[in-house]
Amino acid sequence: MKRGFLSFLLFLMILAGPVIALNFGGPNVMDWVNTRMAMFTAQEQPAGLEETAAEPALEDPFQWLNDRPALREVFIPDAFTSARYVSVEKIVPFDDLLQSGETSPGNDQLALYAAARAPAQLIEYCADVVATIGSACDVIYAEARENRDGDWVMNGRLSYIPLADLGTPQTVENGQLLTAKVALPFTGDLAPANEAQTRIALLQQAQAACDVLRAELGNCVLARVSFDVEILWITDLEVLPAGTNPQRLDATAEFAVYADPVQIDSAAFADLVEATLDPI
Amino acid sequence: MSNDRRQEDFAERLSRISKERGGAGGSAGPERDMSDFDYNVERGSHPIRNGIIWVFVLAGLGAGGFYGWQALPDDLKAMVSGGQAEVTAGDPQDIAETDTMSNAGPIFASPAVLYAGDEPLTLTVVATQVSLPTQNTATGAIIPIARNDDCTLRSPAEGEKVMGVRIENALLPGPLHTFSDAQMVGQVLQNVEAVTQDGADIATDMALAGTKTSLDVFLTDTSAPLYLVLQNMGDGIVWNLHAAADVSIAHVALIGADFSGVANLPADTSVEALLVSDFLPPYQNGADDAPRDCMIRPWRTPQSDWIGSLKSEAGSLTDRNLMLSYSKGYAAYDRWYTQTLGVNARANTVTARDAAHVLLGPVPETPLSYRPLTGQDIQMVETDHLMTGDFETRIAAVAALQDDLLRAAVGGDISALDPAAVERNSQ
Repeated sequence: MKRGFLSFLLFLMILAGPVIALNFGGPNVMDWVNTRMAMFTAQEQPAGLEETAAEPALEDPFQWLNDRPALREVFIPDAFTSARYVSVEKIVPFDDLLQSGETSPGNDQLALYAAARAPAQLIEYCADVVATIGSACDVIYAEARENRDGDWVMNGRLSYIPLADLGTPQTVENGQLLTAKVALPFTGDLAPANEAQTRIALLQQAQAACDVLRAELGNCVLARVSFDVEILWITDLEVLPAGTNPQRLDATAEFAVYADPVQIDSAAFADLVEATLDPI
Repeated sequence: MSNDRRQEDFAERLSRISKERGGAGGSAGPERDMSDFDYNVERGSHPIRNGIIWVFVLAGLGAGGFYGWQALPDDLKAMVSGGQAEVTAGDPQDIAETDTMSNAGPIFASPAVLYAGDEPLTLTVVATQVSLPTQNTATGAIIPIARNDDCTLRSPAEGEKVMGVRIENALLPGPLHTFSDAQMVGQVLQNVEAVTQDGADIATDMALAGTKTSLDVFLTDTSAPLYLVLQNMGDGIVWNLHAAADVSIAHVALIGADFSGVANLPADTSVEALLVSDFLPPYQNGADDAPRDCMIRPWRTPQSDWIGSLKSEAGSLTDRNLMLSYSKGYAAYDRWYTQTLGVNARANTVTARDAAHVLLGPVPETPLSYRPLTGQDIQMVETDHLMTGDFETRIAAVAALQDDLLRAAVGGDISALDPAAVERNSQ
């Protein structure tokens, strides 16, 4: 009786295997079959080809990233990518976009002029980036729009090549890309002013946190720093000292690490980032 | 003689054992079903247990078969079943547009002819001595048509028959470029954003404004003077009319999103034009169903064989919204059309997304003589810029205009659109 029951269980397990594989386990069976077929056919090289001595292939130090596009965008150390940038914002009256003596175009061309001049306006912020976290910086995205005050808001993404060593993500086995975004803390009641020295200090603060994370986890990339500009209300300015910059920065940073999920998961990484930036 | 009784004794023991087991001496009793596992225990009947086991087995087979079949690619399923792949089944992403059917309706590329019949019709049946236009076709004079700024189309007169063509794009090349200042600013802004947001190349990826297309309209309906309503949503079209003998064209109304024109127009035929952007805001999904006094965006009502409809049925939310937009837009357009022209928007009207040749009326018994655009005057909706001549000359003129505007917008040097990267050691 017991033997019969065991046989029946074994039969059900054999039956359930393909069902799980096809529907619930996630693996793409056809891809798996195709991959195996490709490997098999690749091994069957024409005999003539074997007679030619193969040139030694140049070793790509970042070869391990080439099969991992999402990781590559974050960790490739010598290229501008869309996954690693500083987001900046500049708000200016339209007349500030014009050169000395240049007449303003008609209203139907304001958006065109602002959009066309946005990259030149935004690349000035690259000075902050190469002074702190980057060995090179480039504008990879720029847009312009008119706000309700009639000023022009220019948003840009400054991709950068990291100055700091990113660590050794290639030594992590079965790793997982973890990201955590936090607001960069500041002292006092007033958010930092939108000025070069403030932005530089914030970038340094973010990079210092990334250095600590790298020491702890073996690697870290400052994937994104965002500087969103807030304009103080006149009523707020009235109680502040004269000459206070009405443009304040809402700064956030996003950190990325490639880590063993057994060692640390997303929630634990987010906690670690919070603790690193605000250790008290 | 022997006194050995061993054989008799053995026979007696056998007989006794047989009796103890219920046998009746040497007589054959009823046969008993014995268990395979427990010796001398009678096999029991377990219909409930066995039934449950079989239910599990069959359920496993059924579930495995069902999910396994669902997991197979459509083409493999079609091959196994010997049928054709069902385009309505599976993921909406698997439902692809074809050369003749798009998300938004059929495509009639030359030499196919769009007409009211169901059977395929080719150009050779409709026209003879065909000389299709090219980008370099030299036309006659360009005669300006002033736009109707009041949305007051002439009403069809008593006895006139309203016939229409409603498409998005024409598929024959146009012999001219024409565009407004606003269109040029919009095109240059698009080009700028392509560079600054999508990484397009300033030198090679700049699109030009003012491209026009053309389309043949063959007219064979002689039942009444015709009131033609030529409608499209895409780039402007030069509608080239080919009227059979005895066809009378009383009036032509052009309704479109761009500047269009008409060629081979009889001398006594009146023409007027409505430009969608004069009366409606820019196109937005779902924004055209509100009642308006001048709802002239020429929507077409979705059909069940459109790829967009099939994707919508398969669960695509984007296509469902798009089809809903077409439906509501058509309802609003039909309301305006009916109020203005006295017939609904389907009446005597052929529709497709794209077409190269259209037939309004019965299929001719003998092909019409084709009237090429070459040397023909074109009545064209007037706007700020008009370029004629060969294609290279025209696009050079458009590019020069756009280049001047772009330089002014950038502030001089166009390379400022994509400034050089900043190096740390260059600071």
